[in-house]
Amino acid sequence: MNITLNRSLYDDADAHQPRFVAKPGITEEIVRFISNSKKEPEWMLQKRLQALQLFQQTPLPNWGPDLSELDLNNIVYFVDPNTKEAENWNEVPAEIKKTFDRLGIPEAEKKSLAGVGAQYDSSVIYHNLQQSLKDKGVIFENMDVAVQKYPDLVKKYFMTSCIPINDHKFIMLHAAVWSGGTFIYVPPNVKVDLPLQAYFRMNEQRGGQFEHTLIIVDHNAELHYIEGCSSPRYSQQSLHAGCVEVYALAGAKMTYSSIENWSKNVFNLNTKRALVYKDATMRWLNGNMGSSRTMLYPCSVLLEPGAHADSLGVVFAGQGQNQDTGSKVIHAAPHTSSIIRSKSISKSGGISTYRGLVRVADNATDTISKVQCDALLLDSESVNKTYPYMKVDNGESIIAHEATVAKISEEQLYYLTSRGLTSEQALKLIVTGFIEPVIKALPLEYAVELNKLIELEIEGM
Amino acid sequence: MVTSTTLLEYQEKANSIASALSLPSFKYGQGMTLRFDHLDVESAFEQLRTSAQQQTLTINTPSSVIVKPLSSFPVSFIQQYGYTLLPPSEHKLLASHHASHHQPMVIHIPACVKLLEPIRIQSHVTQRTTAESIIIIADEESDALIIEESSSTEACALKTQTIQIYLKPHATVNYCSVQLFHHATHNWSWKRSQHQKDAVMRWIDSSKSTRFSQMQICSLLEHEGSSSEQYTFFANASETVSDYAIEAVHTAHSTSSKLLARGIIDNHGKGIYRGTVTIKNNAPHSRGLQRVDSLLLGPKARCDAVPVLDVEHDDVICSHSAALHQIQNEELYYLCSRGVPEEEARQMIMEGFFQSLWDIIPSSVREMIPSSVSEVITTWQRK
Repeated sequence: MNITLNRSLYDDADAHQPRFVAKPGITEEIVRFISNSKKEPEWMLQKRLQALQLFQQTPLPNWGPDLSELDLNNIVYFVDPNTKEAENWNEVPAEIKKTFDRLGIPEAEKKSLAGVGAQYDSSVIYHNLQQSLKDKGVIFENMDVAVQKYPDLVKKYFMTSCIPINDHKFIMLHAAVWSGGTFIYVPPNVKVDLPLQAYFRMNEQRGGQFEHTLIIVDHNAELHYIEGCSSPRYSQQSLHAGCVEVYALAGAKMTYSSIENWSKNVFNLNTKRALVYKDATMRWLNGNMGSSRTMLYPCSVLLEPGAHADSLGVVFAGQGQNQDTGSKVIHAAPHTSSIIRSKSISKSGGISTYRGLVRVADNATDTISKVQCDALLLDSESVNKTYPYMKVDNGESIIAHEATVAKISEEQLYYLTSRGLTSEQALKLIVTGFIEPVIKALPLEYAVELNKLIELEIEGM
Repeated sequence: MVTSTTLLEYQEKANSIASALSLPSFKYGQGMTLRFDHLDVESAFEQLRTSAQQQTLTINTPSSVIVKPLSSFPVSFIQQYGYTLLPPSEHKLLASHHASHHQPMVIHIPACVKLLEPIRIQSHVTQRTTAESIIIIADEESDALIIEESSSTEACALKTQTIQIYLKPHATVNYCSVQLFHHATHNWSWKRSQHQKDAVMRWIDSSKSTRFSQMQICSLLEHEGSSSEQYTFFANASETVSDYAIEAVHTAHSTSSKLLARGIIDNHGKGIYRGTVTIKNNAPHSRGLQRVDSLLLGPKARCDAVPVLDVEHDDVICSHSAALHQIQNEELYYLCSRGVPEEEARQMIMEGFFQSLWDIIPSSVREMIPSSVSEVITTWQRK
């Protein structure tokens, strides 16, 4: 397969005129406006207002990357793109469709996906699911629609026990202004063979995207969900503060893949968490290439015996980027296991940080956990930091952590160049080999895209 | 106690710094917080600052080494070495330590002296609160082994210690410390070494757990070719907490550090290990290695480990690993099937666990350590 890719595909904005752009800054008025325009039930409005109040009382985190460039009063919290949600790409406005065409979404849907959702700024503009899955009772909806159509399910699971609205500063903000996103429910024993995908595009200048993803995989059901993200490049800062809640009920198997390729003016402060029940498996796959600052720590809470979490991440930090990511696993029941693998590449002064947590509660006997993080530094200005926290309150568990930081060795380069590769080809080959475990775990189209993106990052800049 | 006016001035200054600062939070992120159930930290350190102090240190050295109290040195010396590596401004506890009216001791190993016998430091503490400070200056090309043995009685509730080691070019210092405090003693120990060109420091630390002990050991690799090896043995009995912060900071090229720690934690014991290897941008060709292994002896044994790497240059080799595990049934089965009773088999596995770290220490150093000391380290007075 040959995909030619260039950065302008992601970086260029399109000329679409939105119907409504809120004034920058966050006020109670805006929160009420968002809720009102979606005709939300009263409990959701109250939740938003409560979160807003908490947000205003809470200071910024005092750890992690520098967020001083982020002016929260200069962000546009709600942009209505002036279109209805369509089930057919032909009904999507031409300029918006052009963007998604360039990103290859309709093409991929035909070939290899069971369902697609697409969000443009604050609203979902396209949603479609294969009829056979609809018949089996699978729900794949825009989150805003789900609030209206499935109030009981949403009220039970939306920002309650998985990620409560007071979790941290940016979750409070998210809860106040969230808009769009995906709601998925897979009924018991239903296996969704092809992945479902959502693509999030931020187009508005100084925009903020706050999509909410809520996934419930019922007993013995299976799902693979893919999330892609990108935005055009502006000189002013944008903010992405999404929230992903996953419930993997007993025996369920859930895979959550995401390729976050925000442009380099975006602050990506994202929160992802899964509650994993008896004998269920949760897999996180993360590729982080874009954004100027990333703070993202996908978390699995293993609540019942036999639960398993698997997390695999690759991070690329180029010039001016500070990628602060890592995986968290909380073992809260006996006989649970987890594997975390993280790969980070830093180039041209980029900072990549692994900040992970393995927590074993005192009742979690026979826990097995393994963490491995490897970092590759491509030049002498780049920085890697590793902060693996291991908090173990149960003595009958086995925990292992390994990390390495290194540069590409002269021997490896020499070996490859002596076989006729140019040094750039050799470098690419070594980097590709370094991230191979991640690439292998992705569906082919995404693997190729991720690989191309990383090659592009190595060439360019 | 005779103290020079300069020393008194410094103690006074530390005292005002201590009163101005507030207590550290003892929070290490991600929900790790130290708790003190048996000691009111604030008032204990207050008492340390104000109470009269007796000299508890006895230092026996070969004749070529100079040992004198800090007060007998000129002002310029006190300025240069007295508090440079562990300044009172760092935190309230350290300021309170320096403010306490005790006499820091200076050990000076002259240039080109290679000691064949170890320097022995002994300390037995009976006071409620006690502070001890040792300053070691290892001149060019010198080579020494220092063995510190500390103990305390039940009367001692708080013991603080600072060790500042200044290594001149090509100096080698091996510092082996065995601390056997009473269970009631809360022990704080801050140790730091500053390295000039090609200077080598080996820290061998073992301390019997008490209700609470905190050990901070840091090597500042400030000149090319310098290296540091830190061997830490910890054994946490039931109802004890130990907090180890081991650190190496590389700020010059071709420096190397090795942080190796092994700990055995009994049921209801708690160990915290925080290790940091920092390689700054001006330290190419450096190597950092960090490894911590813990053996947990029961379901209520608790261990927090945070081995941090902070690397700002690509031309380095840096790795770390951490493992927490139990005595494996296979290991027990192997020994028991050969006729070893189970309890004895457990002891053998635990001793082997420490012995295998002990064996990594260079033999030239190991051979100079008397067997009475080395046995304490490898067997942990379990016998």
